[in-house]
Amino acid sequence: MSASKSVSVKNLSKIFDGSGGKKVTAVNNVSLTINPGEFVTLLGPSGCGKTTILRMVAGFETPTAGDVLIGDERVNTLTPDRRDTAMVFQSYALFPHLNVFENIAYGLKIKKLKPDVIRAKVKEILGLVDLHDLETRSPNQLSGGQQQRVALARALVMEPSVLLFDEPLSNLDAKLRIHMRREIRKIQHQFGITSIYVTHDQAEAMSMSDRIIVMNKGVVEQVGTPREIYATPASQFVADFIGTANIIPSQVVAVNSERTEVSALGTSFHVKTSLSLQPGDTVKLIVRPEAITLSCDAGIPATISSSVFMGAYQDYVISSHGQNLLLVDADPANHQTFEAGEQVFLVIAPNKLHIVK
Amino acid sequence: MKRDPALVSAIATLWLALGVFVLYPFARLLQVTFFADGYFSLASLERVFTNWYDRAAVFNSLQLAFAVALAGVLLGFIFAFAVTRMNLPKPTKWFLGAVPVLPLISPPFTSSIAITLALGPNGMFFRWFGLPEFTIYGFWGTWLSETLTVFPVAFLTLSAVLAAIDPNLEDASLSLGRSRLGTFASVTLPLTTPGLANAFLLLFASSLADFATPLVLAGHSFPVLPTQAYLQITGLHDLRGGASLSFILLIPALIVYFLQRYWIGEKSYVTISGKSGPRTGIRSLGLAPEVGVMTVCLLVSVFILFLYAIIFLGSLVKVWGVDYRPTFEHYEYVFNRGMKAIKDTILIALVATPIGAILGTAFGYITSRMRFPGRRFMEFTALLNYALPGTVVGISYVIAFNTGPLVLTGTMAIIVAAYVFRYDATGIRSTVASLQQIDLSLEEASLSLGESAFGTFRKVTLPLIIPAVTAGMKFLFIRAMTAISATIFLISVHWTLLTTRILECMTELQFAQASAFSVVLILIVFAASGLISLMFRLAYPRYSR
Ligand SMILES: Nc1ncnc2c1ncn2[C@@H]1O[C@H](COP(=O)(O)OP(=O)(O)OP(=O)(O)O)[C@@H](O)[C@H]1O
Ligand SMILES: [Mg+2]
Repeated sequence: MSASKSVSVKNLSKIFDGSGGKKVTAVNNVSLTINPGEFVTLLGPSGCGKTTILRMVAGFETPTAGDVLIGDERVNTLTPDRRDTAMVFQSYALFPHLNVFENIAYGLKIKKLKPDVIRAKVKEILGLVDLHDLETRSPNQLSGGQQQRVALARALVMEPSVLLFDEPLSNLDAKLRIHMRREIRKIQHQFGITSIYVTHDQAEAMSMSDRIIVMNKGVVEQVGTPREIYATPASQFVADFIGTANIIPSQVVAVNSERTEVSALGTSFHVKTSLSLQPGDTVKLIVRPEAITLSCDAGIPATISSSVFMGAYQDYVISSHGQNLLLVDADPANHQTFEAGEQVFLVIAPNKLHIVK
Repeated sequence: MKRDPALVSAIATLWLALGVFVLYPFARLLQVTFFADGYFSLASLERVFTNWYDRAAVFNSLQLAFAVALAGVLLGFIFAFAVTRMNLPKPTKWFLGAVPVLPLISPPFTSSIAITLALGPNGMFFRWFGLPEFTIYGFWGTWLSETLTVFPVAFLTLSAVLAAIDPNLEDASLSLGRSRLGTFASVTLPLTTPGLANAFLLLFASSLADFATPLVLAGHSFPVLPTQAYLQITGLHDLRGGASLSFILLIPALIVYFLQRYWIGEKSYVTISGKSGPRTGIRSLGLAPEVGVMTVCLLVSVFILFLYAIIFLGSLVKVWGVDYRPTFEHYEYVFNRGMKAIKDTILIALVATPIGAILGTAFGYITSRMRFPGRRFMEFTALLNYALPGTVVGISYVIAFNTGPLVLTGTMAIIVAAYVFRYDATGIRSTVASLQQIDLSLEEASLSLGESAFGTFRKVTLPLIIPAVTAGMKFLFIRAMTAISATIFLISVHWTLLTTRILECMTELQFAQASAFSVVLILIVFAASGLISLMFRLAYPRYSR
């Protein structure tokens, strides 16, 4: 068992030689520090460089520029087997010539553990990933989800200092996925394994991460706790990518130390911000759907464009001052619902507003 | 990751070996071809193109190689398809897999002798069926014999490729609404394309370089380059003339080689992905195509067996066609007068095979998985001696190791080296081909679990490429037992070969003794290649692919 280690990358870039001599900048000058024992998620659209960062940390790709540090050690020139990392591959990468037991025991054997210790560890991890009776199966006799869990078990059982996950749960059903999230978190926490986790699933990122790193086109857009990322996105991209956001163009009217006054939807809002702005600047007002409530008597006038009952909540699209807005009524049973075409008024909670440039 | 000292020393060792046994003899050969009395001269090449007989040889060689490669690949594919992609009863499968092995493990003379006896002047075929006489000597006889001799190579490479195609891909196409034949044409065949091209190259090159078959069957009206070069040297003692003829032979071989690299090099079909679905069963192509495939396979198999029956019976009767009393006297001759050749041949093959297997796997692995300057040139050089006609290799070794810093004439080492650096090509190619099908993430997973690069190779890569390595080893062993084109120049009183003894018997018209030698040789090779397969099955018992 190894002590927790931090992982940091400094000014890391990776440029691939694409086909036809074109260069592809997969990762562009990224700097990050991940604390010992921390669980961070890399979130971003397909092709934004998440896998490439993981592969540079694991040692499969040599950075074009910049450094990778594990603990205090610069590992740029260290081969993957000399780095105390284990990776769960997007493509599983199970050894087709070995059965489930041998796949999971593969790394333990390299550690020269005693056979009975190996057996016990494999048994235990197989229990965790719910694959008790499949030890002697070969990978091509397993379903996609089972293969994925073997791949996960093979990395988890190593208890390395750093675990790298590349969409490890993408092939599992919703229930199993929630179960596996918990198990991964538990093991990770128990051994203080620093973890970098790539996913497309926002719920996964929100529920598991200490911090989330949002990437776009090879650069880091924002790093923060799930709460920060959601409540105070650093850019329109982040606001749009994480959850649902109404993005309303607006203008700065006045700036004072406490709040900034912006005008939008025919009225003005007082918003807290850390941006330094001048009156007259154009900004984007970020309004989460749950920040808006509907009223019959007072507020910003609007028309209901569509109204959909979703069971636990009611989804509306409304239009006001030429702007389409999404909003969610979380408790439709409790009060009046509206139908398409009705005239209503909007009430927007000022402390849930956020502005980006 | 880049400056791994073990890798650097491995590369240095491989380059040293290539330098001594490939580049150096090649350079000496070019020197003899292009330099006369210390001056650059094209005189010897000019002579080839002004002599009509030599010009005919150039054309004939190309035509023959093309026809042989085409027919051989087609036949090999049909056999491979039957064995890997049809629901046949086990014994039928075994039979179809075993028959093509016969021509592969016999010296090239075998089918030539049998074809002469069956189809030649007064051949029994014509007498039995009362067919009009025609002469087998020339293009058709040579083509038939060479096709039968080389198609097994295509069969072996293509059945490996076909077996590795994930049936799920075909299922996917079927589920997308393609018919079975449509799926075959749009999925199976394109996935096999690199394999087909690879097989075509192998066959084209071996036909170009083959001189044993034309020596027996081509006759004077159909000269080809290798025999011309050989006769030039042994008959006329004109080393330069023979070298220039072979040099011309080398040009089309290199063109094909470059074509193949450009065409296939771009395509990498990853079918062993580490993300595997359950393997589904074999889907039938439909009745009519399968009947067609089976008809071809059975006809060809029966014809091959018929030829071998002639050789076998011919070795057991006094004089074929004249005196059919059974006798063992030819075998007595073989085991008395030919014992040294038998021992020498076996020893040489036993030494060459493991060396070639290790070198071939090393070349294949390092050139396709490692990135280092000169990688492509290393691959090119490692395959050069195979692209070169055997005659050229033989002559260049004579020139290089007769005089100069390293004298090897008359030793076993020179014969072993000739075999190793010429016939590890199959091992290299099949290793490369099978590595192309193994997703890199498998090796990365092992590295990330803490296994060293070498351990990863041993535990993950090697078990996955072992069929390719085994195929390469078998090929090398068989060629070391049966080849003649290069080594006929390298034998000596100390080291002699079974194949050259057969050639001697034939020039003295001792067909029965030649047949007996052939039978013995075939049996040894058969036993040994079975042993190689067995060894690997014992070493990797759970290899199920
Ligand atoms: N070996 C390579 N050669 C050339 N380009 C590459 C290579 N590997 C990745 N790329 C490119 O780099 C970019 C980032 O790829 P990467 O695999 O890191 O994306 P990702 O964020 O993991 O995407 P996904 O979520 O789809 O897995 C992509 O544009 C990809 O096409
Ligand atoms: Mg990815």
